[in-house]
Amino acid sequence: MSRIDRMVAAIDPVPQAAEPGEEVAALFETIVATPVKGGRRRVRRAVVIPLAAVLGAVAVVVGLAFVPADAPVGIAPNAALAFQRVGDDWVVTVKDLYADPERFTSEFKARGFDIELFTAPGSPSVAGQLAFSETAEGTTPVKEESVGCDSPGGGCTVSFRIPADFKGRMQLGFARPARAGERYEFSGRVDAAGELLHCVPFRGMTVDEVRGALAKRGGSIEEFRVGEKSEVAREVPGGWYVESAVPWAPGQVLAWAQPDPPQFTPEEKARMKKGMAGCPGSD
Amino acid sequence: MTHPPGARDRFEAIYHAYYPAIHQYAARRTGSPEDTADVLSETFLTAWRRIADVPEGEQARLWLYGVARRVLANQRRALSRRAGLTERLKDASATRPVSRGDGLDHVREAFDDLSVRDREVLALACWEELSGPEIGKVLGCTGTAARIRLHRARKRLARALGLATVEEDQAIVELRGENL
Repeated sequence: MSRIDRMVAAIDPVPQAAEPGEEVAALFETIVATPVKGGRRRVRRAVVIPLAAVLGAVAVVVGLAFVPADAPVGIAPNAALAFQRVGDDWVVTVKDLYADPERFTSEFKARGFDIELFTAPGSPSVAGQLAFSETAEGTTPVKEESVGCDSPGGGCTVSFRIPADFKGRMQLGFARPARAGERYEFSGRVDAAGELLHCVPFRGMTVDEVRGALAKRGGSIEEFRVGEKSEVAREVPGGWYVESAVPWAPGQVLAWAQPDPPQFTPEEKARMKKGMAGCPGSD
Repeated sequence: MTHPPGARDRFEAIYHAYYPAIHQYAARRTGSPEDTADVLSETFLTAWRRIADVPEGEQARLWLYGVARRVLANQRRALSRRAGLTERLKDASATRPVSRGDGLDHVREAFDDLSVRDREVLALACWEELSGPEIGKVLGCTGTAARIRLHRARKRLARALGLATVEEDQAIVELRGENL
């Protein structure tokens, strides 16, 4: 359990389940007496559950093991991972970025590691990268070794290095190239190299202008977010302004739009300029 | 009564096995014993009506959490309708709980400031002690999506508590609370 998890566990408002009283049987009888077909009559407040009784019956959850019974003990012919010993480390290569998490887990387990690895669709600029790692200690022993992706949408070769004596539990998430129709779980900056709005100074442009720039690259705005609460909008007037955008799915971006031209802070302006560095026409 | 024979026995077994867990789940997320009782009634009534859909074994608990979660969401929606005005809601949410003197008020405050979705995923992991794939079953998403949501929620809470490890997220754009 990480430090954050321990803190959340510590503020559990009801750390122990209530001791069931007479109301349990009463509610049961009320429910089974309810006709199962017909109107949706609501059993409302059949009983009042005493919250004060807080003894016993703590639901203890046992973590599920996700290791298949036939987990390979060596390297299977079609291993999802390849291990190479280099000094005090293992260099692990993810051979199949689309493998089930269970396969990775079992192959790590065969090497004595308690490591859960999974992959999820990422936008072109982050595909192949380690998107997150979590250990109980909050630090990660993983050193990213190399990533080679044929972008956009191509395959990636990912390898990383972990100390051979690593004994803890660890969870690793890698971004992999998205398949058609998949929505990104991990997104890079929409103006990063390989992304749909690379070298487009889109922040502050109108929705129609951004649509035009996207159309030249076969892309579109899939959805909008509007207002202070970032509410979902399928459509907004073409004359509205794009405040920000993120990669959403292959060929699609999500855009924050507003009726008035957005005001950017000096920091944002500096970041926008940096994003355009190396683009045609930039300083 | 159109349930096949044996349905009542099965429901009875499920009811007694998971009543404490569902009670605790509801009590953690409601403000009053009455609301907790409502969630229990609605959740188990749904299980009774749909007894054929309730999965076997431990999976039944996750299924029940999923139902209780939707009941709670409806309860919240009804509450906001009753409250009527957004302003009143704002006032209500601005009210901080009384200090419990356990040195965890800052954690409670930061947790309460998270989005409902972030709070739910953290609570399922840390209070109900569910794994990523189990959380996925409750939320109706894949285990991977649940792990990612959990990770992001942890990051946002860490940041709110000043424990952020920002560097990792720099390459990955934060979707401003957009839970994918």
